Amino acid sequence: MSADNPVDDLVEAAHSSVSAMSRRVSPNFTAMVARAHAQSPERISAEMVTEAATLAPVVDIRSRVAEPRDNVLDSLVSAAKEGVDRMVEGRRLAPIPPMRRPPRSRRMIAAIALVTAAAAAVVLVLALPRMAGQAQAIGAGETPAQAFHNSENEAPSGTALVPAPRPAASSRVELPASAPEEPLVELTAEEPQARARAQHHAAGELRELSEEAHALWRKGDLRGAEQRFIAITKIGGRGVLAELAWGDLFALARQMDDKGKSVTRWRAYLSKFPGGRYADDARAGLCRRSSDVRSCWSNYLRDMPRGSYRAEADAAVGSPGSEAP
Amino acid sequence: MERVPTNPGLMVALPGMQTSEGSQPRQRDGRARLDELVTRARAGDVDAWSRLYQDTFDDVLRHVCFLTGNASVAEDLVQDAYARAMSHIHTFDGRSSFLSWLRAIALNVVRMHWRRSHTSDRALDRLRELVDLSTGGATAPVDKIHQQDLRMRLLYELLATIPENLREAFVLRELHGISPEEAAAQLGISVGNLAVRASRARARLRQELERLGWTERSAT
Repeated sequence: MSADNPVDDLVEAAHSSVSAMSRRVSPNFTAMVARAHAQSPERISAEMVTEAATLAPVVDIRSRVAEPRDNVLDSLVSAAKEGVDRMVEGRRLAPIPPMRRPPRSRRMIAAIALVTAAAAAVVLVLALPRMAGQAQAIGAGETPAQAFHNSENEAPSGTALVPAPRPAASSRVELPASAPEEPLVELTAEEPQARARAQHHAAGELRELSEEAHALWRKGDLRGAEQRFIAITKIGGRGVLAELAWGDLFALARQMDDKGKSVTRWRAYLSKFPGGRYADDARAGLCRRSSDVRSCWSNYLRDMPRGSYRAEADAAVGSPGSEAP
Repeated sequence: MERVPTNPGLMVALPGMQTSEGSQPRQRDGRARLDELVTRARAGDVDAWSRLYQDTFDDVLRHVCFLTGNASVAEDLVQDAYARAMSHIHTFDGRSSFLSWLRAIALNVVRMHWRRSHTSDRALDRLRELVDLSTGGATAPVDKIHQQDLRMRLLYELLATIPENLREAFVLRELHGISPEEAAAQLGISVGNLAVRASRARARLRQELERLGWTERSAT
């Protein structure tokens, strides 16, 4: 730290942090067009919003190479930048934060907490004996996400993904055929260092898989890319990289013109990320293929009153006047 | 130009990647492609807009991140900037590059944001707290990464206390890393004037830091 030029210290710190910070934001073209329509409906028509929704998603593929600065950075700043990059990668694995909700008053929160606690106590007293009996039966059911992973493990060509033993010094990332959702390693709360190491390891593995998937995609190996993205969704749990991989899987399904896969993936994604960044698109996609279109769009409007597809939903439900402001 | 009607896949211009506009990989010059996209966007082509958005998003986002120092705020402002650009594309006359035009719109959006969120009365308290933490006060964390984030926050809190014209000159010249010519053009001033404003901003920041006792604390 140079006391002679304190502003420089802050500028260096801010430059690294802001660069890292900007990588955490993803584009959302459909939402942008919907906003443009809301701001200026006479210039940006509702048809343009609908058209934007039908286009392939704009995805975030940015150079991961740090941009050179005008001035020469000293070794301290380089080390700090590396640290920031590590931190960002670590955060990529963190769960997606819940959707923002309007703030409630403290009194209201206290009242809700009281009612919830009372209800929970009643339910426990009434249902505890039955729950014990049902516990064994629950294992037989599966969530949409589990169903997706089970179905995706059965390759359409009949060549199921077979788990292979991992060589000790392989440079290529092996695809786990039945990787656990999260965490990768069973750890106790008393092992924070081990947990950090495991997370760092998982982050590295996900990064490698993602790079490999995109490289295969660029070469035109859609199936290979797809397998790697599926692996990322399994390993990454509810992390950001896993969620981005879901987006890539949606795009791949569209590219392969496989509507069945799209539907399965939207369902599986929504079961894991009900308020996720692609939830709007996934729900709209499901509604378009729903057997009960009206009811599906009606639910969409109820859950996502400011969703990007509300114009389409309004048209399907037949409720004029509720278009974007 | 023939358009593939189904499943265009990803809208990214990656080397060797097939796009929805033709069966051959794109080999054309980037500038010519951009011009063509802008022409189509002006005619209301949503597909062209999506490509422009894809190609320029990272740059505009970085621009706004540097101006605000806050990713969440920047995300919202960037969307707003593009929405405004989309409805005002007819005013783009091609004298500057499309990206410069977008950046200028983004700067205006950021200015409006600054004016909406005035520095609160607690700004000085926040600054003191940040100085305390950043310089290793009693309760300061020792983690290097945390320190770096604290310093970034401190800088942006300080920037919020200086006049807007000095603030944006400082950010564009000292932080962003774009050329002085481009930064000056965005602000509608000469390169010399930009240097003067950035220098004044630096002096104000240093003065404020001294007032907060940063220099003495950081030297220890």
